Amino acid sequence: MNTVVYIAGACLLVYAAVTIPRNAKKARAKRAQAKAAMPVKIDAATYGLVPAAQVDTTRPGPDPQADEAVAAAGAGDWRRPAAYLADAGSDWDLRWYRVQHLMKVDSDNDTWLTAWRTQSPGDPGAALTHADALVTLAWEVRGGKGGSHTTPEQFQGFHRVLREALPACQEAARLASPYDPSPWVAQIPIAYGLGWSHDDFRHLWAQITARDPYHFGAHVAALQYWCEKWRGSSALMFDFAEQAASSAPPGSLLPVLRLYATFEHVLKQTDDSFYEDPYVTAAVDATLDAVDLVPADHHRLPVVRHLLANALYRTGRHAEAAEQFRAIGGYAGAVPWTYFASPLKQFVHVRTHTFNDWEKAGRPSVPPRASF
Amino acid sequence: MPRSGRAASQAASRAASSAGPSRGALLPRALLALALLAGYHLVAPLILAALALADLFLLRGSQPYALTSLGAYAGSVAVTCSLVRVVYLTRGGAQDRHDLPGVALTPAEQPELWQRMGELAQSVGTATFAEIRLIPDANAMVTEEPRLLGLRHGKRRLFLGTPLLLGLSEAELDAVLAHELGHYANGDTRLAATVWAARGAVERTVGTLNERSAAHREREAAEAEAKAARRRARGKPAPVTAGASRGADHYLSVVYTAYAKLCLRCTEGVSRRQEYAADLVAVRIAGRRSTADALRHLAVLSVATDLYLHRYPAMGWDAGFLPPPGQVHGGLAHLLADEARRRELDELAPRLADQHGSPHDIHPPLAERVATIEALPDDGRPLRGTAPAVGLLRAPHTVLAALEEAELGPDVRTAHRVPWHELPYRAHRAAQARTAEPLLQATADVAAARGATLHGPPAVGTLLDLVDAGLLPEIAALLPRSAVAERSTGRATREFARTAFRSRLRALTVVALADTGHIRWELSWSGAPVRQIVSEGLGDTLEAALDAVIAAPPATAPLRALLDSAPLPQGGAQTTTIRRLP
Repeated sequence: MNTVVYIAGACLLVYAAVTIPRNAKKARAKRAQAKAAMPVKIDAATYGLVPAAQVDTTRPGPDPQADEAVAAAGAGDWRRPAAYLADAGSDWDLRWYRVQHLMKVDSDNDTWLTAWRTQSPGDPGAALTHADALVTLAWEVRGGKGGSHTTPEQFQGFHRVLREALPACQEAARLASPYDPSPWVAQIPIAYGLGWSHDDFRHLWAQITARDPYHFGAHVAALQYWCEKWRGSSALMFDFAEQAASSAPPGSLLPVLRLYATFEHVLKQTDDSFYEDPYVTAAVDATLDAVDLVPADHHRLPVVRHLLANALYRTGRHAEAAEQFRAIGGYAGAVPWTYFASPLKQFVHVRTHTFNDWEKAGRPSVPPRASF
Repeated sequence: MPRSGRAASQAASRAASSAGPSRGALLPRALLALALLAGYHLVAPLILAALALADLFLLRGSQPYALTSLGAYAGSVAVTCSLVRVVYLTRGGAQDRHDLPGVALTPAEQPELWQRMGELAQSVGTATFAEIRLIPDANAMVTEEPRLLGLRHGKRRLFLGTPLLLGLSEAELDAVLAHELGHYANGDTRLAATVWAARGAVERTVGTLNERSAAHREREAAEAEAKAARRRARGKPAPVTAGASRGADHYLSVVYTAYAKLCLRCTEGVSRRQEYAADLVAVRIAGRRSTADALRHLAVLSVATDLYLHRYPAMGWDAGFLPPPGQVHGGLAHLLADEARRRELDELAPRLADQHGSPHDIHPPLAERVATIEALPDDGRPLRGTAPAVGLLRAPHTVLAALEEAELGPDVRTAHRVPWHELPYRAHRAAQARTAEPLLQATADVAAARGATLHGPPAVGTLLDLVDAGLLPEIAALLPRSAVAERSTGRATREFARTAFRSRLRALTVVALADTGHIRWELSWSGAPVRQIVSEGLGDTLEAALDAVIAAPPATAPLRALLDSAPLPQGGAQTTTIRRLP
């Protein structure tokens, strides 16, 4: 009996000798991992930032004029939004920006739009808003998830409403000024939602560029068409972004398309290593230059700053990223954050790490850039 | 062709070596077989003994009643229970007569088959069968009830797949069966049955254990889910879940799987040699050509049977329609008789044959076996017995009908039997009618709410009248809603309701168009099993008419016109084009 006890004891000792160091090592690694995964916290107030709880995730930046129009529309008044839209004049991108803002009116409440369309028949603004509302409705039916998480019923409704939106766009085009590209810009989501061929899309695109070759909203939408997830490929997307960014005149914000394309591309990758590419560095510099050249109250500036801040953070330029985050303020309703399940979390995460890393680097000031 | 010549001679030498292994190799193999069998029977007592020993040590230790010790006792009791149940109490289960697959063919009913099989067993030089059973798989197997731990012959059963009877010639069937019998007959593989028995026992045990552990995990998951749901209902956060614990079965399964792998590795070489040797027996009985043909046809048959059973007799099952009695399995003959399908299968089978093999499959690759057989010297035997093997069966329809009942259960008796050419029509019409059912119900409800009295069941005309009266939203609101539709709000909800309304109205229209012959579904034994045949341009007209019904001011006239179009005569197929409705 004793021998058995000895043998069992020896086995136990050997087992312990093997497993205890191994488990200790595992535990150490786990602790290190947990520490790395621990959320970094910064005190927002120290840096003059808006605390996470007060960040607005519904818009990219402040626009009291738009809010006023949206509130009026929500209350059933169509004259205010109509005046707001007409006020954009022949700044076609501003007009498009304002139409898209009017989509923020609760889609369940379309009495103002119906009133506008019936009381002011033939109003190009009403027709355009109606068309874009249908496109927005189609996306609401579809939901924002990938194809595999979207039910056949959602797709059926999505395609049907998009098909109904097309004649509405054509009607808006009939009523609109011949120089207004908006009714064609509104068709871009229809094109990628219904899978138009490249030729058909190029035909549509020619209609837009003939009216406004540097339309910011149209370019952002068209970039989606050329994305791999819709009707293009990574290469077509980068080609499109490059062509638009390089041909844009000074004072245009189109160089940010390169960063948008980069962001879309990295989403498909397993890691962030693409941000180390010299292409991204050059794209970031060009976007910074473009931002410097536009007036501080440009309506597209907040959207650009969000993409820029993300790219600066990913490329390790923390001082410049911090500068952009300060300029952004307490708003997170923009790409890239809206691509994530919780835009707020993603925004705060990147912002926190930016300032944390900036602090660790000894609060460097923004490096001077060679101006061209 | 020097290349193929060399390959053939290699194959021939392999066949020669496998045919006559040296006598010296016999003893180690016999010992190995015995050891594996003994090992299997030893694993369970060893585990039990180890558990008992461990418990004993704990009891005599310093803390016999500490919490960990108590846990250990409980664990060992759980493992013991599971082990005894799986290894000792389920052993006889598979031998239960009622659990055997298929139907028995008695000598009185099938004298020709029994005579043929008896002759075959005799010429192979082995005992004949105690039972012959017909099964639906593309397979033939011979099993033996192990007696005395698999050392003595027990009751021998032949399981014969109907696809083999329908798809092979008599000589080819001989080859397949001679191969199976060869496993029991070869003098130098006398211990095959022992190896077979050991492997069968281990595989059965592993299978049962895996099943039980999967069931255990499922139970745990269901419990966890129920708990989480209860907490959600009370408004508490989700519980912190430790990973689901694994039952005793899982750990036993690990032990037995390891043993099964050991068995497999030890007997791999033996098994392969056995297969080649059994092929040689088949060649001796059925001739070289028939054996090679049989192997090739078997590969095609298994693919064909898979395809057939999944796509053909099952198409009307949900709607309660079946092909005529005996045709659920017997219809495979139609599929095999189709020239175009035959060509498809001949192309497909070689590619699929070697993919299907599981990692535990002991058969050498099919191509190698065929090459080995074809490399044998020509035996100069003429190709005999080219009649289909099903000719061996007396009253095949009765037998196949009995098989159907045994396989599909009592539901078979209540199913509607329809001829093959009607089956797609019945199945599709029934499916569409089922989709349209809630819409008709909603129509009736809305009509009743409006105080209208319906004469007879609600019809598409009543529905369109209500739509004209602007009641589409009311009807659509009564239709079943999907989970996404439930979550939507405002205009999106309205769109979901329209989508649901449209797809059910489409089903209703399709039923009406099928009844007037504008849409037909035809059976095809090649390509896709069902072809939808619609009149020229009907697809686009239908979609446009449906869109008009759900448009903002509804327009029902196009759909009414479509529904009122004259019924097509029976032979109206000349003016139709074949296309799928989008």
